[in-house]
Amino acid sequence: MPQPVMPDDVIEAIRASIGKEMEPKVNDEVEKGLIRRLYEAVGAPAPEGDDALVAPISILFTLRGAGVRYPTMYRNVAGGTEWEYFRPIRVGDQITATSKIAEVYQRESRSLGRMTFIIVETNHVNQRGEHVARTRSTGIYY
Amino acid sequence: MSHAWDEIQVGDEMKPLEWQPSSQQLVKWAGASGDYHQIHYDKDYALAQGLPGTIVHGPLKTAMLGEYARQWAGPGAWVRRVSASYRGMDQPGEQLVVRGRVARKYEEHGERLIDCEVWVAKGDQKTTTGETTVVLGRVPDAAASA
Repeated sequence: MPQPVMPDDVIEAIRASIGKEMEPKVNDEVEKGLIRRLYEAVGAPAPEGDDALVAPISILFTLRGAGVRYPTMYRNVAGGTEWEYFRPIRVGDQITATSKIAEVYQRESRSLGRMTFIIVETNHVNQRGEHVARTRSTGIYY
Repeated sequence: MSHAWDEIQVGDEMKPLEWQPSSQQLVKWAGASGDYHQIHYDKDYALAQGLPGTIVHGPLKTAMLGEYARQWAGPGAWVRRVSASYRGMDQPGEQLVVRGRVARKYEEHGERLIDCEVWVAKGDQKTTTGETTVVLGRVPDAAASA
């Protein structure tokens, strides 16, 4: 079934929540298999030794905060993303991710009509309380 | 492919990487990343959303750009930042090329850093543009080497 267009009242509710942090989400511990699958997905040779225990930066996409990053209930495509690592994440780390809506704006597009851009910022903290990463993701609702 | 710090110059072109994403690769990314949005594997669903067919996950393109920079930099390098803007859609089976160039070379907080401009091209169209920062190790200790 096709997804509905995000209604105006939902857009306004999201806009009203800008800057408010959502519930922190404690993600599952990072597994070696996840790291291997992330490398496989980009066609990279599987790293060996200690390198196999350090996560590539793409792991940040898997460590989501609460509040869905790409809610599939409304029509959307991904607009862009920024991943920033402050410290490496390793096998066994447990990452708590906290998201907030950072920005909401609209633009007209010839192909997709009115597009609403929703930017979610997520901060990642490890089990020692170290701030290990920050991500920003742009969802385009059309 | 590994690059010695002294040999890297701003403006250096990175060796292009031919990339033809397959539907299987999209499924691998969906499984690894947990992004199960149907527009990436169900053609009828994607068409019903007004899309031209299934499309490559944006974050998979970001991950490709980060991995491209990691392989360019060689063993021991650490990709610390990657950003991407999805300007055009890419579909499985299309012939794409990942490219990049060195934008900045600098030392900060005792680390040797390279910023690269990176992008995914389809013909002469850049469907994704991005930037990445790669750490190429620490600045050698001047006192220790003296």
